[in-house]
Amino acid sequence: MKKNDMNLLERYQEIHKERTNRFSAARIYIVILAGTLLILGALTLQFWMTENGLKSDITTLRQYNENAQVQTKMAEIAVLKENVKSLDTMLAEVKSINAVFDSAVRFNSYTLDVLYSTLPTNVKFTAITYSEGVVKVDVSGTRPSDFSNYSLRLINEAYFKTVTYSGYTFDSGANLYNATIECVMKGGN
Amino acid sequence: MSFSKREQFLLFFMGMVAILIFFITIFILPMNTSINSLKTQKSTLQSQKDIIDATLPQAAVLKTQQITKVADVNAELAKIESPLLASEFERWLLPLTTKYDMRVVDAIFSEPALSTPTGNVVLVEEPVYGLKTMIEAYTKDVTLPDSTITSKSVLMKTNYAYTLLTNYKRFRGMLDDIAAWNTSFFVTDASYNFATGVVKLGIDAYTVDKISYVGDKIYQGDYAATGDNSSGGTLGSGGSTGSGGSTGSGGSTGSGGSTGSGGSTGSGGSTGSGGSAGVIDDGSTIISK
Repeated sequence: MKKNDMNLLERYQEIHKERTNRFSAARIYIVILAGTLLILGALTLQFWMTENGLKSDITTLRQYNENAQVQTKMAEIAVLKENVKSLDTMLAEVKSINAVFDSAVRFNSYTLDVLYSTLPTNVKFTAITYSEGVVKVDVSGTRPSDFSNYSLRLINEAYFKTVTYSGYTFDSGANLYNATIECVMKGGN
Repeated sequence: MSFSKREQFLLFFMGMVAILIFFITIFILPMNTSINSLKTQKSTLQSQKDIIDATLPQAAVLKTQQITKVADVNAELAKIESPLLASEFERWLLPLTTKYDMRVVDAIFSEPALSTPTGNVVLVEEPVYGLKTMIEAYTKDVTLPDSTITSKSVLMKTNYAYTLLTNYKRFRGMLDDIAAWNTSFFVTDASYNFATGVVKLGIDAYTVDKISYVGDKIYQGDYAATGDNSSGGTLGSGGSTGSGGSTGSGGSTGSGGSTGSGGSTGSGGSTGSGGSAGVIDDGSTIISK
């Protein structure tokens, strides 16, 4: 008959061995290795999926951007933009020219009327010459005061920018004084 | 062969490092690089798409803008004449010499040349000296220097110079008619000699090429210019223009309703009662497209 001793050590050693086996270095290494491989695999998978997702997005975007219709419309728009830009430049340039024309001196009957209506009775025109904004009036009169009178009348009309004369001469043959009065015309607008 | 625990650990550690290096170098790093590159590419393409999406709806607006701007440019360009030959310019001026019965003594036309329009405004320079400046500063009444509008744009310019025989009244009338053209033709030189009745007239015609538009002119048909200063006279004499009756005898001038409409010029006493000479839209000489 087997003697039943209270041998707890044997059981303890058995359990300890089991536990030791369960947590043996090799197992731990395998678990760590497996875990690492799993993580790396997951990471690689995630990267792969991201890469493919991006590739797919890029393909979609590229197809949209390089679509023939879109490209044609974009080219049309580029031409339109260029046209509008050049039209703006043209408009600015033509407006600047027209502004010059609007401000230009226009020699017409009104100028002659101003010269004529202010003419003293004893003063006569000999010639009127207009050249590039300046009117020169050749006049003759019987008195030396005629030219200052006429000039002052023209100045008081305020139609010209300046009214000047640089003297006068006496023509003993015709018994008349002659002078040239120079009037600088004002521009338009 | 058995390994000690330390050796086992070292082998395991080295294996792990090898695996990590393998994964990192073979998979992760290239993929990461590729992802970064793809992200940049996507970002660029996305930007392009955003630009396209924002641009495409502009087409209609731009088309409308273009139409409006073409109309604006045309409206501004319409104020300037299209390039014209001397023969075409004569269709403007000769009706006036006919209307006012002027004898054309000579006509000299220059070659078209490039020119920047000046407007013939003469700038008057006020003298500046110390005391005047101080007085102006004290009275706060500063004289601004004379100025004018300028443009750097270049146009075509042709000068048409005429020597005519007429009286003062007709000379005066002609100047008004030229001003009434209201175009880019400017009298730059004009003189009238009261003793001889000789008029020297210089006209600068500024022209520019245009975007094709409705309203440009076509010069066609024959024009019979007349005028011999038969009524003559000087200041104020000569009565009403066209009294000589010779103007309009060609018949062609009156037909369009411009120069002496409704009959021969001068028949009614005053020339061109139905319109001014050289007016555009004259059926026989200058018509609009």
